[in-house]
Amino acid sequence: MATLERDTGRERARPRVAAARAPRPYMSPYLAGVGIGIVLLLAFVLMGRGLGASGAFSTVVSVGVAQASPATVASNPAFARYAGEGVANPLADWLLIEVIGITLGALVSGWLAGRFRFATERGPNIAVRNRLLLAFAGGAVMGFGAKLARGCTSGLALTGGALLAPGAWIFVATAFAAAFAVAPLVRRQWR
Amino acid sequence: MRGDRRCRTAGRAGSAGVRAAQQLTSSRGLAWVAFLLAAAALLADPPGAAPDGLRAAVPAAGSPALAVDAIALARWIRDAKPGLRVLDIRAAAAFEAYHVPTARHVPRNRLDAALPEPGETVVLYTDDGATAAAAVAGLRARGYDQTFWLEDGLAGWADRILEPTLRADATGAERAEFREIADLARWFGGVPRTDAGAPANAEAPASASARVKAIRRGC
Amino acid sequence: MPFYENGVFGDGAALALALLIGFVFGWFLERGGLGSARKLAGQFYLTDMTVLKVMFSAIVTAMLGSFWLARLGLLDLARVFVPATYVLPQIAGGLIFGVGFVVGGLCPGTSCVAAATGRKDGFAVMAGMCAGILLFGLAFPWLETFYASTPLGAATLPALFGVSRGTVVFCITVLALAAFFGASRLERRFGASGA
Repeated sequence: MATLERDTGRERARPRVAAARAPRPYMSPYLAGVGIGIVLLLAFVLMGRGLGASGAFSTVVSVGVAQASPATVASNPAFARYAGEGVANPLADWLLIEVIGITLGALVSGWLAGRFRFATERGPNIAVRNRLLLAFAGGAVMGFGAKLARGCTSGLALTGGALLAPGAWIFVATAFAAAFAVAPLVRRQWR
Repeated sequence: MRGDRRCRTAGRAGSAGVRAAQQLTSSRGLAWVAFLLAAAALLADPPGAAPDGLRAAVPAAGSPALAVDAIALARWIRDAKPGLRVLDIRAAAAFEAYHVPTARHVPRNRLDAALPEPGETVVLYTDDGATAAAAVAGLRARGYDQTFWLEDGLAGWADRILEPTLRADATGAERAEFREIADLARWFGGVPRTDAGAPANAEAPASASARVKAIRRGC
Repeated sequence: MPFYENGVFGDGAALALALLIGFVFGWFLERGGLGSARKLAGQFYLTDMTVLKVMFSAIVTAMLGSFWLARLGLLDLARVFVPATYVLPQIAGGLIFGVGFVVGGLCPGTSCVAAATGRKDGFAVMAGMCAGILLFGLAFPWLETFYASTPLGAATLPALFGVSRGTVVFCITVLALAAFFGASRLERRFGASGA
């Protein structure tokens, strides 16, 4: 039942008990950001589009709904838009492949850096189950918000921000504002 | 920003080159690079220059003047307007499923191989129209003036030509106009309908044969 | 450029690129520590400003890069897809998203990163996202009007405010640099006490 607190990475890695490989310190956030910016730029140059994440989840959900109830997908534009050609072959969906890439890249990076570990990130005063419930709830609210805003931090904020779309900056401002406002209410999951 | 400088394992007492690279990729170095590039940008595209001039005039929501509506296009096709070329710029599978009669399939990224000749009238269409509008704007910016996009795309085509609906509360003039539209619809294999009793602003779902899905470029 | 838009390569290569682009994206996200919900949440307690630093570094990099490639005539910005602006839905969606973000501690992309490094809360957020998206879809008939309201199309800040692109690029860069400076000071002030 040991809690698994992660150091913020700004300090050097503290000796960790029972780690097969000591986790390496994180990269400078500025360098990581520049790296991501270069990848984003590559997407512009090569594909004429930016990155994304929530769209891949939409595809998965729409394909699932199509299996369960094709009539729902046919009559509901919110699902139809993502289930279109993807119903026949979800793997033909650019965003879904990109998100698979994100997962693989993170897996390899984490493994090589000794940061791979089956664990639940939480503070010392919250049970695993409650933390997971909060994570699920947060995810659900985010999914709803991302659909309404037509994007998430990768697709709308990063891509739209770099391309100077007003909606992207509106999204960033409101998301940060709401997060700051609600943060005190969920502080106990980290303290 | 000292605390953010990247950790380096000891032992790389480097040459000046390595040190310079380290300086440049330190937080401070990056900040300077960014600032200089931004200041240069301000000089290269000064405040007085054309608004967003670098991004050649792409009409935000598709300029109506560049659009042709479904009924006009249907008339052009039925009357075999000389020099008319209708181009479907969606994916091949969508084209196979349904396309506007007489349309040719040209994937969007191969439009350069199908540029309009002088004297031709080219109409591009997609499922919802927006992507076609952007493509037309691009062509127009390069001087191809006789290019148009199908307003509301295939969705509009399905609504107005394949399943035109006469509202129950239509006026006499509208009924007269509808007779011509109904003829047009039947010419294309469509099914005109009269809407007895449904509210005026009900959305008529497109028929299964013209089930359309917007091309997804966003996230 | 953009190469795909100009027919330089086809759909198969595009999908291969998707995998590669995603891989590098995920790599840097993990390297920056964004797979850690604790680290991400720290942004909103002012103890760890990584989110702000990574996000705005990425935006500024791609923004400056695309500006200069366009200015040098190498990239046709008109053929790069700009996410559409819908003012009210994006305000509402942003607020809702922000709430979910701080409660879950991960965003859609970083939840994949967290799950990929074994974190169960990453999986929980991913599952929650699917549930939220499903809910949105089922509620869509009632939301449709609001969802489609206040569209500005593929608007951009320079076009909207009638200024040159260079002006906006400069202003955003300066604001971002100021934010980084302020962020470091906040971290020094609040970070020591740690969450």
